Amino acid sequence: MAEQILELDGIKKSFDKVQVLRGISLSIRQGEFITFLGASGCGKTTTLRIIAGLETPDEGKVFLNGKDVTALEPNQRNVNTVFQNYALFPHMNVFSNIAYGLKLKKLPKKEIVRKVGEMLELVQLPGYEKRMPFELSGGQKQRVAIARAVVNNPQVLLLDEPLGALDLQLRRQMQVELKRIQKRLKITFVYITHDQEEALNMSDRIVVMDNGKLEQVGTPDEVYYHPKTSYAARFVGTANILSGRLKKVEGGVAWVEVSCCPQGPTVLVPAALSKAQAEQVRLGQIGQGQQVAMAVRSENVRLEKEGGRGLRLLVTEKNFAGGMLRVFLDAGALGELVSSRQGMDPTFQAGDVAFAHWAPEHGVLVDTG
Amino acid sequence: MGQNTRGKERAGWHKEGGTGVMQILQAAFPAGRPPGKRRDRWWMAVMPFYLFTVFFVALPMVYLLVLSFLTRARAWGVVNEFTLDNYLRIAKPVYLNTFKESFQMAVLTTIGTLLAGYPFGYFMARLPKRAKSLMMLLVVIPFWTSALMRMYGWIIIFRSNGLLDKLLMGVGLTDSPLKLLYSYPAVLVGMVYSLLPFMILSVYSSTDKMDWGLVEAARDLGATKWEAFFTITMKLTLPGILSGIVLVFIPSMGLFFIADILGGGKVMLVGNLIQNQLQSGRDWPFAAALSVVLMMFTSVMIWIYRKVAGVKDLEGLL
Amino acid sequence: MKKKVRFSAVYQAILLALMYMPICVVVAYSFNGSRNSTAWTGWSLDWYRKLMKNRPLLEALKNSVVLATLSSVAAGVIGTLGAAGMAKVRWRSKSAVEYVSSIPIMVPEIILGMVFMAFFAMLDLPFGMVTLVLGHTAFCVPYVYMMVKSSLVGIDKSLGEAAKDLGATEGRAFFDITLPLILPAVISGMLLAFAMSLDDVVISIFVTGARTNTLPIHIYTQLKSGVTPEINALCTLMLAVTFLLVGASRALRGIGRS
Repeated sequence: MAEQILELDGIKKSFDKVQVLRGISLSIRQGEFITFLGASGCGKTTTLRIIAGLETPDEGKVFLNGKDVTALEPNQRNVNTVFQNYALFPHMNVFSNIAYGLKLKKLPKKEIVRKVGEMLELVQLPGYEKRMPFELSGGQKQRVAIARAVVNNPQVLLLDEPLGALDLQLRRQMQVELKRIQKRLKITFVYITHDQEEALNMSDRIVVMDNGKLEQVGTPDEVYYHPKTSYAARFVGTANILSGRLKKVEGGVAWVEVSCCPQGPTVLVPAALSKAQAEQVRLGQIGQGQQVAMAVRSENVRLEKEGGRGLRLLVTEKNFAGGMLRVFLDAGALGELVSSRQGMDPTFQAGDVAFAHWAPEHGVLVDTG
Repeated sequence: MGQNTRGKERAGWHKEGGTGVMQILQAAFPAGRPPGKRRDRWWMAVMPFYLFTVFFVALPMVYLLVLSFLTRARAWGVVNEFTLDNYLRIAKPVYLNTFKESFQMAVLTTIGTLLAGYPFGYFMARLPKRAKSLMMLLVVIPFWTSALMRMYGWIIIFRSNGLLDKLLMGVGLTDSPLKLLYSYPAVLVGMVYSLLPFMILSVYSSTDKMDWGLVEAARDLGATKWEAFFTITMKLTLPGILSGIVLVFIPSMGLFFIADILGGGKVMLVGNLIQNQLQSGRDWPFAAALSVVLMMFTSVMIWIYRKVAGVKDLEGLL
Repeated sequence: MKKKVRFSAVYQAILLALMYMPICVVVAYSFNGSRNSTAWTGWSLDWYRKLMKNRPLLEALKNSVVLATLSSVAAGVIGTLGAAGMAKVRWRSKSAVEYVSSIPIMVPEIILGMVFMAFFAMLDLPFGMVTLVLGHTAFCVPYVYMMVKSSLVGIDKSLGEAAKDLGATEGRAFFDITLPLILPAVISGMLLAFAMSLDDVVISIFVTGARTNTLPIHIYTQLKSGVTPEINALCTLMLAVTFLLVGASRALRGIGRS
């Protein structure tokens, strides 16, 4: 395993008595592409600004390469940022923008010219030195902003929703590009986004944040298939969350007893246990009869018109989203259930009765956030 | 627990690193900044502004207030004896009359600028974009030319056998000079003329910001042109009208030199009274008391304006 | 509809004509050949020639230019640094000081003149250029401050952060990034301050000493006593200067906005 380059230790931060970060601790490895994923206001940008040195934490420490940098100014840290709105200096041309950091380091002129040229090659804008920022398109500005940060050879590159202002097509293209640049330079990327697709496509690891806390840290696969908390499950992909009582554990599968209405009939639904959860079950930390929550992704919910397997529900609505049929079902006290499987029977109508069930491995036991 | 120590270290930084001046200043201006701010040197940039404002604006104003309660020395200067006489003197009919006359002049000036300036500012806002900026320039230029020069122009026009007399006699409207110079109307014309740009710019800026869609909506709902104007346009441009009134009214109480030059001493405004007390009468405490009253008057106006218009800055000031 | 547009054009033309009439009269009479300024006796540049020889007047002009330069530069420095710093500090006294600083352009000028006169007399300052510069700086600062403040609002906060992120100190970031971006506002505020100072009569009358005459004071005393048409010539020249200043200020504001 590669060495740790960045470590956050118990970071807390409040603005005007509103606590924005509630104790963030995280280690980031050299060369890793790590993404902070969360809704706006979850504290991800504040975390990034604390790493950059643009904010100081109220409590906690930031270590860069094992050195405590908490009290250092942004200009004293070998960390660079790609700002959300690019923040290109409007009165400087592309060359001067990219060269700014190098000039501050008092590098010889020749070397600055060479490095800036290299960077423009890397971001595929060769010959753009003389252009002014207002002459560039959004995507080009983005590339210049990346070049300006990367040219300083930072230990960590921070990217604050860099693709937020671009249209969908350009965004997909830039995702590939960013990944290419990161692989080529082997710089640690700390990336911020609220777009789960971006996070899942590019990251080595994803940090799901909510309300100033880390909900889950894991690879895209882990976060997607084994969400740890109901928030993570809901935020990454659309998952249905059902809460009920743990009935029994059999061969690594938990059977959860759920009910659509308080006194109504109960149904057993399956959820696979992770290794950690299996361990908890073994130690008795999760026991029979306990209140638990489970998640199942809408694409894994099978619907049948007959057969009586699983939950008996009423179809309330159906629509098409992204070329996929989505069926909304009324699950009473459990809330709403969504199913959006490919190749689903298209004849479901509002008012129909449907039976919903899923394979045990598709259910996940989650913590309620 | 390590975090707490760090916090303390940081809190201690100011005490060790701050200079004596800094500490005094911090005591004088308690800082509401969070302890997280590091080595912030922006206070140094603010200092000249702060010191200048405190020493050359705030202190003189306080001194004015103090001065207004002191006694005039017999020969020259001021004696440090508390008195209310200066304020009581203002209540004398002769001085009250000056205030009344000033107020009258200010009201007439304001009405004059409003009548002349509102249509102008309104029409200006309806011009196409390029014409608008040209018109803006045309309005601003006389504004920035020497006020004295413009007064001098009026002297040439108004004086006996001057341009106006010649013109009027030439077309046979009058047969003898009107003797307009050194008269009340001349001062009023000079006042309206000098302060007109303030009104025009205020009305213009609020009309320009107005959403014309609302007027169209009113017309669509059946209002006539004039109904739409009085019910929508007037209401929406009210902030501009109010700020124009404030911007015209306040200076017109104090513009003594217009009354001096065009009124030839016949028209006595508060400004002239203060100037007389300062320069010929040498009664500074009384002049200070007059100034305090005048300032209270203008402050009340600004306060009312802020309450009514609900804005912080005077619109169209710059 | 057509008729209404015509009316507005006529109205604006008449009002503009009235606004420019006194100015035009002065300019025209500056070229008058007659000693008696009521009568027109043909073109002449006599008054400009006499102007060049009028020592007290030229002295007053020099004083005015020096005064306007000193006070607009002082106001430029104080106002610019002040506005930039005020945007950063979080002192509780901030808004109060900001309000007080704008008093000089809020109250009637005569009060300001009176206040400074009394205050400087109390401090026992020698009346003359020093008191003039102090008084003028006081009413010049708000112009620069307000212009710079409003241009700072339009500057993206992350630009300064980006500079620091790339290795600049706070001061370096200000001089490299913020200052060039607000420079048009700074200069246009200073030009405005220069023009206001050059034109000021009221405050100058109160804070000047017996020996220091500024141009507006000179003109004022002349207007109150006997007028020589040299004043016409001088006013015309000043008008030309004002045209240049206003033009430059507007051009810079235009640059600042784009």
